[in-house]
Amino acid sequence: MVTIGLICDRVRWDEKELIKAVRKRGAKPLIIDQKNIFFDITGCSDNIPEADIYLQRSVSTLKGLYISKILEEKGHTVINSFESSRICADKLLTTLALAKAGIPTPRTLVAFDIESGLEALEQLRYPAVIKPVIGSWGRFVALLKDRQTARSIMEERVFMGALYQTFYIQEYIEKIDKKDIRSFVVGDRVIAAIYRVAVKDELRTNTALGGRAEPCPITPEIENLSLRAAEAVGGNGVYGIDILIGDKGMVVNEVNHTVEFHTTVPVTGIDVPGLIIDYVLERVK
Amino acid sequence: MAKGNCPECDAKIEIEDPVIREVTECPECGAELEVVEVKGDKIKFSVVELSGEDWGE
Ligand SMILES: Nc1ncnc2c1ncn2[C@@H]1O[C@H](COP(=O)(O)OP(=O)(O)OP(=O)(O)O)[C@@H](O)[C@H]1O
Ligand SMILES: [Mg+2]
Ligand SMILES: [Zn+2]
Repeated sequence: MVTIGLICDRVRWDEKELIKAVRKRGAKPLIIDQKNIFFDITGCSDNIPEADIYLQRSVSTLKGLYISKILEEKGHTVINSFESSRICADKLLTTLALAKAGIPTPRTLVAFDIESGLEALEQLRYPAVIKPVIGSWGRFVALLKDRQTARSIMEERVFMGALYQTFYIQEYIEKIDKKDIRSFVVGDRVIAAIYRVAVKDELRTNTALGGRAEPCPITPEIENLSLRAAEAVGGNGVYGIDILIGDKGMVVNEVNHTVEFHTTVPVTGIDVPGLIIDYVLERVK
Repeated sequence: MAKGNCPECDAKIEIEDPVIREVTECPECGAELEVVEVKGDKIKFSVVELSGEDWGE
């Protein structure tokens, strides 16, 4: 019997559905609780619970990344790979990868100092968007309306710690219909897509912030952009692609590597966890 | 069905096939809870900490 190791720190609805999907396919789910384990990274002793393949589901990005790397160094296969996860976990690295692959993405400038950040903003023009390079759920993604707000937000971030002192500043994409697209890439297929609609007066469409989800047809354009974006960050895995729609068309905002699908399943009726597990089992062969 | 009580408001909470680290919201007080122990059909919950700065997808 095939065993799939699920590396978790939280077991949410998403993880429970993955566990069910594994059982339904006659395989064995092995939940690896991040909190209950230590790793020998110099010796060859291996106390990692044995599985044929591992699926990374950690909510804590950095811990998840380290565990994936350790598992890979010990010869195990992890979905997604460490290299690709490292790129997705960091918006700066993702943008570099997307730009290198020639994929349309919002114009982004990076600065490490408030004064040079303000200079960058003169080029981008206001309003612009600032984001922490590591982070999710729309946390601290802010609209910079003018020079004064930009300065005070950057000043605050300097006090928030090292993670926030890399100023990732981006052109503001005015959304047509206030909608974003989230598509799901599993292996070499786009299996689902939803629109995410922001609540009134909110820049961010995140469902964690009250945004609403609607079904979205997978058009050839969405399919093509999504597959290229997944490929650009390493491919061969499960990805959530965030697409913004502005007046110049679709641009890829970012690529997520440990996708949540609790909103997508009820809205689209697509068995996202089932399709993820089918792909994981395919990779065991 | 396994059962337990909310550590915040004592409401009774039932979960099917509980899993350690499973998260759930208390239907009475809205506290975010995590399953920390399962013994037979008894669940022990604890309130989950606030989210970390690197949490997410
Ligand atoms: N350049 C932009 N112009 C306009 N809106 C933007 C821009 N960048 C991000 N947003 C909005 O802010 C929201 C959060 O941004 P982003 O996805 O980059 O951050 P995140 O914290 O990683 O969120 P997620 O968990 O959705 O991946 C997005 O859903 C999008 O609607
Ligand atoms: Mg994200
Ligand atoms: Zn309660």
